[in-house]
Amino acid sequence: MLGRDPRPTASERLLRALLLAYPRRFRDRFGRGLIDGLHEDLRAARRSGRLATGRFWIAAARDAVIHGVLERIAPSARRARHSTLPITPGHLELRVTHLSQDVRFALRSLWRARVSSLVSVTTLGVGIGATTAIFTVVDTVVLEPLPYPESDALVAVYRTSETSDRGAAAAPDVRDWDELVTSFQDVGAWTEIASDFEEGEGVVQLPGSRLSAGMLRTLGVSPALGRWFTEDEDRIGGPDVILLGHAMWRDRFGADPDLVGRTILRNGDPHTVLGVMPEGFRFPTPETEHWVPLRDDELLRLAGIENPGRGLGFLNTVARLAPGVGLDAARAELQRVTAGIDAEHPETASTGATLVSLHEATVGEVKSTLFTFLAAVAIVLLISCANVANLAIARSSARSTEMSVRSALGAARARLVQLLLTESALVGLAAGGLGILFALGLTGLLTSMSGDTIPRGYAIELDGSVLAFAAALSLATGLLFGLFAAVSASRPRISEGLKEGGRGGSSGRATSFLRSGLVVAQVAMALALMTGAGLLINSYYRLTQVDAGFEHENVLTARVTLPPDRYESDAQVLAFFDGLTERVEGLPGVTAVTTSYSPPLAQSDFEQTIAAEDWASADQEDGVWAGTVIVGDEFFEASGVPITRGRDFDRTDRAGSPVAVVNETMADRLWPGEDALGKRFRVTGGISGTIESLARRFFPDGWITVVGVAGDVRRESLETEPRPEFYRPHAQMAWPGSAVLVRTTSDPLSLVEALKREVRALDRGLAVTSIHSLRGLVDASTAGPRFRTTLLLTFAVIASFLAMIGVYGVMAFSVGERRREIGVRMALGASGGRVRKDVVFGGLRMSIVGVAVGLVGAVIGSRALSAMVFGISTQDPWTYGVVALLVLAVALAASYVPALRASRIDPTHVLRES
Amino acid sequence: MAEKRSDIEAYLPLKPAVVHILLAISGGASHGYGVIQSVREQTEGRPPLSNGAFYRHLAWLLERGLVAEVERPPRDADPRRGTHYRITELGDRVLSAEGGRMREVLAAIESKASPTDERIA
Repeated sequence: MLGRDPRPTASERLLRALLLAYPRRFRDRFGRGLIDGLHEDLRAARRSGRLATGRFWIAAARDAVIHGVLERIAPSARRARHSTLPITPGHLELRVTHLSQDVRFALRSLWRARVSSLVSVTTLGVGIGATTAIFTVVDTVVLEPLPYPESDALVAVYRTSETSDRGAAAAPDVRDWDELVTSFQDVGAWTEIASDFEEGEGVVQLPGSRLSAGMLRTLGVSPALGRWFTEDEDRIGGPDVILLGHAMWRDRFGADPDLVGRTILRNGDPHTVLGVMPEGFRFPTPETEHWVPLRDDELLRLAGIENPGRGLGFLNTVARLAPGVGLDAARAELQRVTAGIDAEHPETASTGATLVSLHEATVGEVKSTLFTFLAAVAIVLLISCANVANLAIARSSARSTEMSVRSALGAARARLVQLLLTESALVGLAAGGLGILFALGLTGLLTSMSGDTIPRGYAIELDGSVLAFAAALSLATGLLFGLFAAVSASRPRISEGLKEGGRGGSSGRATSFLRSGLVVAQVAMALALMTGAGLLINSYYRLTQVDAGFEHENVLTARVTLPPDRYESDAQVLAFFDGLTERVEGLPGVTAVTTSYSPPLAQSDFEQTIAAEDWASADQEDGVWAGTVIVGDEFFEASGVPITRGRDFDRTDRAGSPVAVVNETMADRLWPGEDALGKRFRVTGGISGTIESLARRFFPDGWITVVGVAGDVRRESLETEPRPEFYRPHAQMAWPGSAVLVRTTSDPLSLVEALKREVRALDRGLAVTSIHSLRGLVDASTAGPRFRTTLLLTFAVIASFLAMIGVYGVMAFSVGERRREIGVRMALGASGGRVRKDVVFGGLRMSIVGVAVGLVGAVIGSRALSAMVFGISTQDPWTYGVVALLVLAVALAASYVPALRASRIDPTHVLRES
Repeated sequence: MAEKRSDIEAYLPLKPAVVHILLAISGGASHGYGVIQSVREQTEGRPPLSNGAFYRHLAWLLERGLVAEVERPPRDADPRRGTHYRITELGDRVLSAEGGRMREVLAAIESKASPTDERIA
């Protein structure tokens, strides 16, 4: 079998195209071997998935550019390494002399045209820097595998239900999956926790996680010190053991190697330190710093839940696929096994199961955002390359006389080309240097600005290979266009060039067509980017105008959680929060105090299905999902959530029958067109939330009466539409944890210390956590959109500025070229205004074509933004119109300066020149 | 034509990738991708050897006669693989000379390193 399939595939054609980076001599000799090697690598990459294939292409392109350019500059066969070079010493000397001569000459000539050189270096530098910064983020966050061995095989496993594709699993589900799904080599489960540790006088609460004994085996990580806990320690009644994160071990225990085996206090109980995890192990969240055995049965008992069966999902599950098993096959088997489980256990609340790669589960949401940014910076880079190309062409056309003189004096054409290329290379190098600085700054800015909006953001570091890629690309652009210009300029048209004398050359039709083409492309790309930024600005404005449903000025929220062993009875819990409310009310500057388990935008909600009393039909029996918010007395008055009908909770509710205030969405959903007051509903089953929220004792079996209807509140984020929700009085659901909401007359954060003091006065062993002003929470909830909008706007402004330089450059150059013609016309009676108009229209013509092309591109490209815009369509005609006018105005301004200059040409002066 | 010792030393030190390539070919003639594969196995991919880098090193080695093309590849060879390469006598001697140089370097490092070891212990 000789050769492959006669018709090359797309990837084969692409591979062959990459080879063009190498000089022909090299290609002829090694091309076949290179293609073969790349093919094998590509095949291996494809086996590991789409991500690896993407990485392969990036690496292959980088490889081709770097080695192709190197091979052209310094052919390996002649590369100087030692004295036995096959080239004569004289030859080498000559080359070196030429090079240093060329560099000196190039520096001189770049300095002579320092404005244009500066523009080239700056535009390219900005393009390289921005591309490098964004690509670094994309590479670390999206392309780099997760920091676990063979992380491709890790998957997140979810229960699915009507409301969620990513639901938590019940403990028996996890055990069955581990046992029955043969595609899984290991299965581990975890939940997030917060534990109290002693700190100085008081107590501090730190985020941690309960992990099953199999979790680390699944991840494939071992502790740096000590050992992981065994299956026996992960059982109810097992010893109290804990593993610490590297940072906690270093910062709180002075990196004491003898800590393993000693005991520390967690939640007031002594725990034996089993080990310390390696640095950089951050599972499941970047903040997690301690791990204890999962003991799901113990968790259930602590929450007072008996025999939960499979109705209560509270575990997050990660599995490692057996070698050779693909995602789809594993998912199919999981779904088959789960269907069997569900058939045997009708009490299961969920309807199925699914899995996605752990990588996807971690970074899936930001992937499209980051790729959009990558596209945006790629456009910036392309525009800056186009600028450099344009400048290179302009410079070389302007210098055709100089080249003709040199040529006439006997310079070989190759030498002239080499000279011009040296200039391009120097520009590329300087731009690369500037790009490094810019990239460093921008990467730092991105990481600090993005806050929590980028997962794995902590791992971002400037990637040298990315930088090399951008620099090589810009260098190649410079060389390519420098080469084009050099070849056309050095064409031996000696007599022609000399004949034109001092008038400067006039560029050929092909050159000017190429130049206008470049400008049209620049304007089009800038317009597309501007449109994207315009859409995001428009949508961000709408977001800030959303009515959140509560008054967020001057409100402090902070959470206090009571340990169940010291607050066993409902009376104790209520007495604590009553006492705290009373004390805080007495603080100066406080106007109202209340409590709420789920304050707005603080995301500690839980949900269950409910059904209305007057529902009869069978399809309503499963009920609708609704959130529960537990609130203290006078919550509505203190929080500013309006009661539209009925009343607020008060002390009379303590002894009475179960009551609730429902939000408008729930009232409409359960009793459309009717008055909800006095209506009754009940909890039907299906609960999802944190483990504590699953305790049945909190949910009355009987009917709950609606005593009020309240306005809707945006609970998760400003973008999310309100869902059905009902409020229950804390007095009837004595929840051991709650946020305190304090309304003040001045800056709410000034009350933090006083609040902590009051909590300590009631109970020294309690930690105050999640301290925020409501204003701060509202701001944080728009941080992601604000970040995206700022970033895209920055790129769009840079792009427009670069495009403006492009338009200006071409117009200024063409005016310079047409000086004589304009002079003659003015001598024959054309007015300055007429000349001005001509030039401006010339620029405008190019820009209009650019805008038209750009609008088409924007309509197609803006679809990528559909997940990021809020309240408007990505095809919003107003945004498109405004942006198009703006870009045209910028283009007009850019051509006006050269036009003004054209109209001031003195005809007598120009005519005398010739 | 026998090379003088000093001629061989003129090639030293070899680049790490070149050492690995020579080492891979010294086991027997192989096609390009085969050499890349065995280098990657030797080094466990660190530092990575790309196709482009490999062929540029190969061009250098061929030019200096350290490696030569095999005129008639083995009969069972896959024709798609293209040219096979073998190490030359000169290549062999350069490789052993590099080995000798490395041994000297290693000895120097070890004689310096031992006190430090004690300090750690």
